[in-house]
Amino acid sequence: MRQLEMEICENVTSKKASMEGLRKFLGALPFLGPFLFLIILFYLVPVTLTFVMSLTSMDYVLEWKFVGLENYLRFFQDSGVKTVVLNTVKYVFFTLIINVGFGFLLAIATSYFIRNENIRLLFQTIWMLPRMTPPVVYALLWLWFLDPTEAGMLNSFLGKLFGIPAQNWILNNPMKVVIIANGLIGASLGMVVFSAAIKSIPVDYFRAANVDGASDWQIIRYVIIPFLKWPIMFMTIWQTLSLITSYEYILLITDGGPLNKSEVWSLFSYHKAFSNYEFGYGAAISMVLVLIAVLIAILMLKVFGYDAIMRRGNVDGMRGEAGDESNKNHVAV
Amino acid sequence: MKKFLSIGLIIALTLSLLLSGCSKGNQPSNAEGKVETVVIEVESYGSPADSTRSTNLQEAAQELNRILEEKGDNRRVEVKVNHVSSGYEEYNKKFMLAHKSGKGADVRTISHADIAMMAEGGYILQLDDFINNSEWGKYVRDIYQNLWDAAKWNGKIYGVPQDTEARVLFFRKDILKKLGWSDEEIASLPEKIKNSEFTLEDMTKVAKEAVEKGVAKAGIYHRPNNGADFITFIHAFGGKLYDENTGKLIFDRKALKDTLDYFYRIAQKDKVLPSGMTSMEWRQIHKDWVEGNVLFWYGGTWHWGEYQQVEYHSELGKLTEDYMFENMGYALIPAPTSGGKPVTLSQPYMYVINSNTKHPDLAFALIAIASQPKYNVKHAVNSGHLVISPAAAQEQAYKENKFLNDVQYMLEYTTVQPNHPEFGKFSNAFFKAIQSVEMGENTPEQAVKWLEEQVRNDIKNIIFIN
Repeated sequence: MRQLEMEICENVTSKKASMEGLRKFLGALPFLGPFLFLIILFYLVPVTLTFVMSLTSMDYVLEWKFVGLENYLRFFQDSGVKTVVLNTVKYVFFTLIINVGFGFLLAIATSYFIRNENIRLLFQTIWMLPRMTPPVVYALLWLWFLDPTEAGMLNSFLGKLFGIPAQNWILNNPMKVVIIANGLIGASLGMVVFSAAIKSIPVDYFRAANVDGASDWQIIRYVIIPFLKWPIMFMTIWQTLSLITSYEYILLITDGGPLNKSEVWSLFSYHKAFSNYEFGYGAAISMVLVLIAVLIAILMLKVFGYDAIMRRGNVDGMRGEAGDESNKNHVAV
Repeated sequence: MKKFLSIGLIIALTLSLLLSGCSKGNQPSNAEGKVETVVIEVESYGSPADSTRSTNLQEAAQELNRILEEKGDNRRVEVKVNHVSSGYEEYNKKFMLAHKSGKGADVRTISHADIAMMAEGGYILQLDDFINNSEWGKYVRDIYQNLWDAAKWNGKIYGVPQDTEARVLFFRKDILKKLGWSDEEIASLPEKIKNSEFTLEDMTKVAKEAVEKGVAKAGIYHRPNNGADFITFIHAFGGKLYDENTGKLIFDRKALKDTLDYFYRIAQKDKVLPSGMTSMEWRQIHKDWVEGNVLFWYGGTWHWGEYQQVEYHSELGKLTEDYMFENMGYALIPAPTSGGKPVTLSQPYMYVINSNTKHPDLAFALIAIASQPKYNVKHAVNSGHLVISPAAAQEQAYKENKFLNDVQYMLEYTTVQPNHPEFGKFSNAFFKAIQSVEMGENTPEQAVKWLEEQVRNDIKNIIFIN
């Protein structure tokens, strides 16, 4: 009898809990709904369509002829894939360093060293210009700047100042050019995020550090960096995922050339689909990339600790952490 | 209640009368003898000088409308044109996607090399019936047979030839003079090339001399991106690209190796061609050529018209034809060695009809009328292209054009790219192979190996020969 009562009691409790969950979900729906709809429309639907297309031999006829996993098997036998994978790793790694590293330096320069608000804004706006420029214009500026003839801006500058003969910058250094061009765009985003984070550090910490006689380097190392731990992690994850799938600047500046030297994964997929009209194969290449991007996202969130980033009251925790770091610093100073 | 009902009835009657009046005003009925305007959308591709590819159809519409009126046909054609001058791949892609949603221009001009892809994809109409059985067929039957061959896929005609041209070797007379050539020697160069007395080897030697003596910044220029020009060299080196019997593409290892050898030699060994040629801007190339910085330029007959219509020269702007005759010469692409045969390549442009069009008869009528000599000659003379029929070649305006008359003989030496839907994949990869040898990234042997790998990956049915 008692057992029955307990079971009924448990049932009622679980029903109550599920009702509570449903009520919470319905309460959140008006807030989540629009985003959920957009995610389904612009992510889930295209991914599903890409997956279905990857199982077809769709070509210039644009017909859905199903061929099973043929495109995937072809991908793993394609002799061009090795170069493309290596290029992608190089491109993502080095561009990420510029995006996060240079973005961090810009944030420090404009938010810590420049105290005048107007000058700070001016510098930040200048660095934001590439991001505000349409990609085609930005790419054309690079092409003109690095034009291989004497008329090219860089060649003419180096020629007049140092007598250096005209160089073919893009053809000789395609990967370096696309990394720098992409890096400078990404750095501006990093600069904005990190600047905001630096500005949100309570000024007491800086004052305390100054009173203790900390140098600028020590303030950066023991006050700013610990506070910027989460923004740096966020930018690293965000930029990694965005770089893996980006290709528009590479397409416009080198088009993956010369000889596949700057061909990255997403551009490889684009070329197969839109230059060779192999839409099915191009979709399969994209699908493998989507899987890898998802795996990297999960891995990075695990490594960086997604739960810790999302934990409520994290700012206070951070302050404590930073405080601990500065305390250590006090001893050192 | 009755009052409301009667007001409602009056409103409904008034509205229905108004709407029926609107309907009559907007859509005249043929039965009543009212004119129906049919809009035909035309899009063409080419340099700005080639805009007559579409504007000729606008003029032809007036002639067509007169004929329709005489026949008592109530339809009148209005042509809307869109001439595109950059991004040929994009131009085709946009159409293919538009076609799938039931849209796209009614009439287009495309390279003959895309006939196979467009025909197999069902994007364009087969035209044999129109040509053989319609009243408009008489306007096009005079067109050269070799141009009709270029318009075929699987033995059926899918396009009406719009123009043709020849890839030529332009040379600067002023630079040759500086090298000590006499006027007679310069004037006889095209003939020597025609007789294989001046070969690619000789050409490289002269180019090298010009660069070493400092009379030219570069010895040779070619186009910076993928295009039919490079296929000309495979033909020059005796290569075959297509097997008519099996309908398959051919990978001719020896001819490809010889072609890549040539580009490697001129860029890396003799250094008469910039190793970064494939990254140069079109405008810079034209500027260097018209300003006399380059001795040889692998161009096309259409460039003759382009230089008179586009300001490339920083001082002279558009060139006059007199200036061009004085400073520029033109010849076939020389044979690789003495005993070989000089060549050129033509890439006839075709008028094709969108299979979605609602007015295929009018679209064909328009094309057929625009194929008459008066329209075709106007386009040829303005744009430096060659005409499509013997009747057009006999037109006074064409005969008076010295340049076009001079290059007409080249059609006897011409070759074309294969009409195969997968040829684009081969030419894309071949261009990259050329780029790699010019940059010195690959030797010709490595480039052929790389090319073979690419082709094996991308093209299913291709024959490999040594």
